[in-house]
Amino acid sequence: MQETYDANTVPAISVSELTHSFKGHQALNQVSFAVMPQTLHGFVGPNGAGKTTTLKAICTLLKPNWGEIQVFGHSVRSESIAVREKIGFMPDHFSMYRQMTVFEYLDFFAAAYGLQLAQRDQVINDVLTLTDMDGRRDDLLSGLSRGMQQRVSLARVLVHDPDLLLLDEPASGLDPRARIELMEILRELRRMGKTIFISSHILTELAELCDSVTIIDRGHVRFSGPMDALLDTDDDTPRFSLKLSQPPDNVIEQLMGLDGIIAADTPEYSSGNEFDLELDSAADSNIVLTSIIGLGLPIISFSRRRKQLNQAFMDLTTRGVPT
Amino acid sequence: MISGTQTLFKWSLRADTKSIYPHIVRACFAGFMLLAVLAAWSSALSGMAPGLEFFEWICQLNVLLISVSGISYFVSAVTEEKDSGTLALLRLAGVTPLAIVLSKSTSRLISALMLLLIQLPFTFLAITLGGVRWQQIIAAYLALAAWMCMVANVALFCSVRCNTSGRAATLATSVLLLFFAAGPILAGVAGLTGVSWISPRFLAVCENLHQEQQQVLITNRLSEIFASTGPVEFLSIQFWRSVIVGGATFLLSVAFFNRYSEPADDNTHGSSAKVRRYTVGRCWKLPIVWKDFLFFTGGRTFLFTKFFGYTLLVAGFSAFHQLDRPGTTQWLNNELTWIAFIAVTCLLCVEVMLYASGSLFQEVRQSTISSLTMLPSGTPGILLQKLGACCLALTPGALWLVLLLAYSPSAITKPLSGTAVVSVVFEVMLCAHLTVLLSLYTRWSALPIAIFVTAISFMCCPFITLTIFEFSGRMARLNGISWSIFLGAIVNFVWGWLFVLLPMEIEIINRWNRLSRE
Repeated sequence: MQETYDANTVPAISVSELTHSFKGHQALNQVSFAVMPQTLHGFVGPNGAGKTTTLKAICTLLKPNWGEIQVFGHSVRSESIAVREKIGFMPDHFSMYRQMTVFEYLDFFAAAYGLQLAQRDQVINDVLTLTDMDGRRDDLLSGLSRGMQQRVSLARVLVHDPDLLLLDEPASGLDPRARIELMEILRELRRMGKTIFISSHILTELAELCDSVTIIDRGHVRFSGPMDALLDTDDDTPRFSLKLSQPPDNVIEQLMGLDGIIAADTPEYSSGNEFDLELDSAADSNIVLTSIIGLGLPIISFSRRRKQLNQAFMDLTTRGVPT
Repeated sequence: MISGTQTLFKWSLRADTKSIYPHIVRACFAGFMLLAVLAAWSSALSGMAPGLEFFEWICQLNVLLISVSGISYFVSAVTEEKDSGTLALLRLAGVTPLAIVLSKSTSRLISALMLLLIQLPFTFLAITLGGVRWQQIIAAYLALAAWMCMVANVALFCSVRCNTSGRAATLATSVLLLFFAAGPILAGVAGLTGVSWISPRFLAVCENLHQEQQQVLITNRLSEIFASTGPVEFLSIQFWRSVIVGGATFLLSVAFFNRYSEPADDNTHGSSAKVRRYTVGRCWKLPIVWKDFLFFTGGRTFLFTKFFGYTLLVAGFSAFHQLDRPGTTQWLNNELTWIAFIAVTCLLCVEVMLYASGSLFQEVRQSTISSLTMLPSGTPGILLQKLGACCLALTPGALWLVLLLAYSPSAITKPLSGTAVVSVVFEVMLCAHLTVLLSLYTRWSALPIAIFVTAISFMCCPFITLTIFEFSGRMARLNGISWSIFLGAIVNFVWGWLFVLLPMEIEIINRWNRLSRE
């Protein structure tokens, strides 16, 4: 569900005209977007698009050549310490002290963020429960599976209770179960009021999970805004999906005879009871539905067809690897 | 086998050509040669044999270079494949152990020979300068080649035997240091003829072993060549023995290749939670000190072990003294106190260098730099905490130095000069700084390269130190300041830190920040 914000809401992340190049390669070019607080924002782009560079610039590790980044109103350039206290960054590679146990690892980072001993116990218990790792607290990190290591990494970025989580490809290399479980944890974190900025390649899951999205390609932002706005961005002709329980033989002809419908077809892989309808741009979908009901067809569902994120991504990005 | 060897050999050679570091080393070597020529020219003015002196310089440099490259270059020949997990792929591709060992070592050998090749024009110059004959040059190069063969193959065996490059480098360094240290140790023991409780048979064995070791020692062989005025023997005992040892270790490397070709295996089962609570405990208020102290320097257990080791060393000297002088009331006499102090200092220096080479490198290896940099403490704070952990780990050695100093201050301060103390302390700090800096650039060769650079700088450091002591002493006397030695020490440390160590510290921080972005 897309929330609305008043004009005075300070964005969790505000990136304006971010430009960066290294070794003659223009990694980012005038990148601008904003992420609202307490939302889950997807950051999508092909390999080499500039996702990791942007993330590193936001989390204070990289000083960009040009542009301004603010995290909850703090400038990344001039208030890096304040920014670091607000964010938790999970890089795309495993960075762990493999000789430590899960508890020691989290205890170390909790202490590094200045948490007192008693407070640390509580926080570690909480994050282990949240990530469902409380049964593995005394296990060595080197003995954990990739999915479990990813959970520990997530627990690590949560120990100092940051308002903003920056996750770079958190689901890469995980099996489907681990991926689904990770997404559940992210949903729970959003419910807890965290802002999550997630870079990922797994578009189907992002489409379900994210409130807003930024698509970047070859250092340029191609789209930034609410997920609905991206998926509803379509041709002038609205498309609807109609599902019937027992369609008669001449159903296509019947549908084509109705006012407002300009095309009706059966999708390629449907079992014969689903139909794609293309409406006239001026047609009212409620009136069209009333007309269909008037035909006495056994309707199961009638819904607006949204663009898939995969399709939107393919439309907005360029084929091939950037050079 | 031929095609596999050829492919790997070509690839290794190409990688070496593309890398900038070997070219830098070669350029530095050529620069050093130029300095040596200048030194020879200045000695020629004083009427000595400049060619011989120049050639001696080159040979000494070669000994150092071959020893260092043996550790840094050949130890990673096989372990680099193990580290990156590509050894199994090579085996799957049907490349035999002999092909792997041969191709990986030959490309390195060619690189090492390149360093010897650039010396040729300068070597001919040595003949022109006078004082050295072509027979001496050939004999010296044959001795050096045999030494290289031995060191390279021993390092190669370490590379095959160990799971990681780090372990291989430690093993190879230990073997080489033990070989060099065996000479004075055996000579010292063999010289204890006046000690009643040591059997003459044991002394004779030590004497024989010492003589055998001296015959293989490259420095002795070179001295023999330089001192000879008559015909020079080209293929000496040193040559044959070194070649035989080198060949034997090469065959051992091939024979044991399959047995030791497994990659590094992490222990997935930690000690029980109860044991860990005692050995590891909870994180301290300075978390990086806690982490490095426990997981890098070995923690409390290793701290006690080291303290026990140092105590055992000093107790050994004390026991020797008690046996040598029955009925004595002293724990140690002045001479033995001094020797014990030097021994503990040397071990402490070794500890410093090992910590310097690994402290930051372990973060690079585990890709944890970015996670640490994200902490609110900032890079200087992180590095200072890392230094704190190493200092904590050095306490057993430092404590024994203080105890020995407190036991007999005169026995230790008497043989020491201000210049020597300042020079040695500065050199140790320089070497530690260089090691830390290089560990952020190279994979495993930071320590050998740092020792190499420091050894060269040691030639000029005492001169500078002495000059500053002299200058500050005169200034102090002119102004009626007593304790001029302290003034000299302070001035020395200020220039050393400001112009040498501080720039390195800044570069360490910059490099750390750069790595955190990668």
